[in-house]
Amino acid sequence: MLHYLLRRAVSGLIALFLFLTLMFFVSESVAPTDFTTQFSLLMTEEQRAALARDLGIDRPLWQRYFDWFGSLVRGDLGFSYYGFPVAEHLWGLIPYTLLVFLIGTMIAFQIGRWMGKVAAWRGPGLVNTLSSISAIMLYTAFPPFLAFLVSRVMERRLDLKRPALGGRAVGNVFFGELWRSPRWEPETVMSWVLLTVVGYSVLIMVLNELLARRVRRRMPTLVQAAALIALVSGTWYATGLWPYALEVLKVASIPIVTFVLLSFGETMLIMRTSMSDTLREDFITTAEAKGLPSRAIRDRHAARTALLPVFSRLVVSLPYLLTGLVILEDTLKWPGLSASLFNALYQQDIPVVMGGLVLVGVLSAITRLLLDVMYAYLDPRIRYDSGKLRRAG
Amino acid sequence: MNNPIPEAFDISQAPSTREEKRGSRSSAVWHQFKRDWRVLMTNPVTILGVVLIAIFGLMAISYPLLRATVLGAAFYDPITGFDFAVLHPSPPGPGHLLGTDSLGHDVLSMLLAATQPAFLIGLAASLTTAVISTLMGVTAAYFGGFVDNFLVHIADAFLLLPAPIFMVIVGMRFQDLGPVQLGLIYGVIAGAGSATIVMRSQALLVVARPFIEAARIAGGSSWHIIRVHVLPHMLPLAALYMMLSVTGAVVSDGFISFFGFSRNYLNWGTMIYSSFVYSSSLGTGTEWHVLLPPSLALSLFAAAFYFVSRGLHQLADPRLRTR
Amino acid sequence: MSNNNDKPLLRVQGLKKYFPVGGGFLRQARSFIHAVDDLEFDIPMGGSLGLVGESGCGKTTTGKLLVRLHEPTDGQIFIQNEQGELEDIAHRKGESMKTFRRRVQMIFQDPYESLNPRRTIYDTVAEPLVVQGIGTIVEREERVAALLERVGLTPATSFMFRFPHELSGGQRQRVAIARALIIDPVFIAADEPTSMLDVSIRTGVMNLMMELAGEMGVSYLYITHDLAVARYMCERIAVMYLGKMVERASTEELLANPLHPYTRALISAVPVPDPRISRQAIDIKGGVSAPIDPPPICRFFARCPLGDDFCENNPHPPMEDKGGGHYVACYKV
Repeated sequence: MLHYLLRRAVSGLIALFLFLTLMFFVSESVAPTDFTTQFSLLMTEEQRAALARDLGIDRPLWQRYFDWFGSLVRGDLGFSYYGFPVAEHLWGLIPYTLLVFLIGTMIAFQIGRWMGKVAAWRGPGLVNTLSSISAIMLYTAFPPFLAFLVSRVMERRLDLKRPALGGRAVGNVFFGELWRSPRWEPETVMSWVLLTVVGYSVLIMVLNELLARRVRRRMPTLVQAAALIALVSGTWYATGLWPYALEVLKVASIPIVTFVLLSFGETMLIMRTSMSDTLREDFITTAEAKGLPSRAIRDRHAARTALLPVFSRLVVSLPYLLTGLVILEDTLKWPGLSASLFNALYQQDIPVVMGGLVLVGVLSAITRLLLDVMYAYLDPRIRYDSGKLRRAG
Repeated sequence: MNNPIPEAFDISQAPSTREEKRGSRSSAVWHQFKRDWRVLMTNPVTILGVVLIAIFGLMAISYPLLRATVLGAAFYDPITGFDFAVLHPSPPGPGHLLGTDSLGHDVLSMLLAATQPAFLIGLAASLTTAVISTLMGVTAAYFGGFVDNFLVHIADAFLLLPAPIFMVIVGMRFQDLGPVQLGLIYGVIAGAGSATIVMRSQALLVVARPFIEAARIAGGSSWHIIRVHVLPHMLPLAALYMMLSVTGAVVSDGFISFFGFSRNYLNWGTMIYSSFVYSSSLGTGTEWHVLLPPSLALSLFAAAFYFVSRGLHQLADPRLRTR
Repeated sequence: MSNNNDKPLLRVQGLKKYFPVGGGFLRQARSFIHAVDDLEFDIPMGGSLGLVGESGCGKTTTGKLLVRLHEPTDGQIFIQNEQGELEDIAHRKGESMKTFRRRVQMIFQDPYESLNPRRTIYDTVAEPLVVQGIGTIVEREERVAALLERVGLTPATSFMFRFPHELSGGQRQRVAIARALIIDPVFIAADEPTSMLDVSIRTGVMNLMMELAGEMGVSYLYITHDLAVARYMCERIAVMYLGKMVERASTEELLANPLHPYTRALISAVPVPDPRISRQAIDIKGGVSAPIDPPPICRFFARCPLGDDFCENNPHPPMEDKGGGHYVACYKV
């Protein structure tokens, strides 16, 4: 298994390299304009040429490519054409994107899995058809439009003040009393929220697996959820993080809800298909013949097996999820990755654009590796693969 | 999902008389198509998709006809038209069935004008996706070894590429790309990435089946085996990825325009973008009659092809079919 | 048919096929499965050989090597060409391979999988003719029709443009036989062609194969795990164990006088429908394993009731003639 993961990691690195190279050449390629164009009203030709020389954008493409890649390998993302270091800029954006991405994905995955399971168990019918249609409608909905609808509904409900839609995502999304003289900055609060939620989730997952090994029984999903909420809120309360975390989640709920709506549909569709396939297998008939309760057949025998294709498909659709996220961030003026990507694109600030793309690439490469780990764990054929007996017979 | 017709009992359509032997090849293809079509039409979601696509097709065809007859250039041209008789933005009414936007453009006329480019992008993207993914997937699976490794690494890199973001960057860098070119670019990215991975695993299954060995023993060349035995088994899956590619390409095109990188053709994304921009900059509040039609059109257009793909999925997955 | 009856149609010498295990990109595999290891046998013109063994012993690999679906790791496969001379086709490629394909065909185990479900019966049966460029369309059609009638699919016109899924298992296997015979091969490797069929129609298909082989002068290698089937179909039988051939003799000799302990165990495992006959059961230990990098001693040693120190310290025994063309690979008999 370690060998398998190592191989996947190496292939991920190669893919990352190819991806970044391609993106560099597209971003830097023969553009009608460059960074200095936007100052054409303020500067003379000579001044612009001097600025270009200063920034090094008058050098040949391949030279800039090797420079950029060289410093990337050393962990240096370089400086924006405006002078600030790219890494620092990105560091401030990561919590925003990760918060929505991780929490949104977790919720979407659970909803999709549950709905797919139930739909497949019910079998064909009106409910099934309608649920597929609505899942697809949400999945293929134009993200800005969906984000707009969600924010319209939720702003009124949550009594939130938010910047108007339509422009670029910049600046602060946190207004109100609490943030006048806060004990923590919003970014810090987000990092802690993420850390507690993800950390406790992993803890519960591990506990659950240990439990399954020892007494061959798992915690029901509801118990797991309750335990997670209790642990997380307990920690927040004890550290005094409570009001800030709540406020952050309240503001973040709009992008999170939008992201969940956009992404749960696919999980549900794959889960349903793979679950209906599984239900047709002989071992399910065997389980029925043994007289197992149908709940046990559904949850323990079918659903667990049916989860495999869901993971392998999530790997494939990851870039689309990330894109959907970046686009809805921009629509909702949520200052995550999109703030780096699209603002910088407008200003032709290539180092910042490339920094954002590095982040997108690394994020999807890491998620892919995590999904691979899950997949390898769930699939005994990989887990117990000693590299032998594959082709015997 | 509904069970497809068990094929083993379905012998009614078999062309079995000697008269039909002249057209053996074409009748076999036609026979196959009819059978696949009937399986498709058992899926209500797919039927909905086909109906929606037909409606959009009608919209695309009707636009030039309507422009030539009812929608005069002065009032209704989606770019230059302006109706002096009403105050803009105007709500839906008898003169403008879907109203006008802040700049005086007729919404219905813009909506219809954007349908044809959407089809063009979709067509270009889906054909490119199908050709590239089939080529790469089948080559990798059939030849294996080094070729396979090389192609899988390429596909892995493309898999990492967030196609719509890439499209926005391309759209910004090269602002005079038309719908066909954008469709081609999207098709390459989608085809070389996820579609190739899936086509390859399907092709691996086909290549491992004994009738491929039988064809090799008959003396068939690689080209003969790929063409006659492998490719026909890839068609339903290729069709599936064509549908998904249409969805992705049209939404990506919407993104490019939505981010304000104007294109030299009209599309729904531009309409959504301008409705957002003008409603916030003019402070008119949300113009629902301007925002809703293009948003729904774009979402439904994308969904329609995805609906069809659900049925194709059933067709392409051997486990969902009986022998 | 040939003036060279003293020469065998097919001669195999030192045939080996090793499959690498666990190798990958830029990394040499360190272990190998010795699927077929050092086989030697002849098949005379018009004769037949039954290849018997447990699943996983390499019989199917042997069949696929003979029709060159796999390339041998080592060894020679000689086959008589049209001039009656022996030609080595073990490593042949390209155009000369194509002409070889005219002389050797294969019938597969699974009639559901060996016919392309998207092609008509006519397309399938005529494929070797089309690929080899033999005959005009009309000639091909007549030939396919005649052969379909001969294999019992009558009237041929009602079968020609059907699809495999409209046929029963037995009918499909008849189609597969027709496809194998359409270009007049001299040799056919049949890989358990009746094991997936209902018992009631097996005999029909077996009889058809034997009749046609006799009529058309085709030799065949019949791969099976069933000694009874091999006895019914073949003049000679060879027994394989983990990639090695352990015994080879004419059918009656082998069944009446098995020498190798493994063959004896196989025969003692065949049920006898006569309660009065009591046979001494022969015990062999353990189960069959995969031959991954096997030690150089006798493959059967670990399970052999006769094995001793000599067997443990000497290489795998060579095939020795024990008289009358009865070959055995064992030190102890």
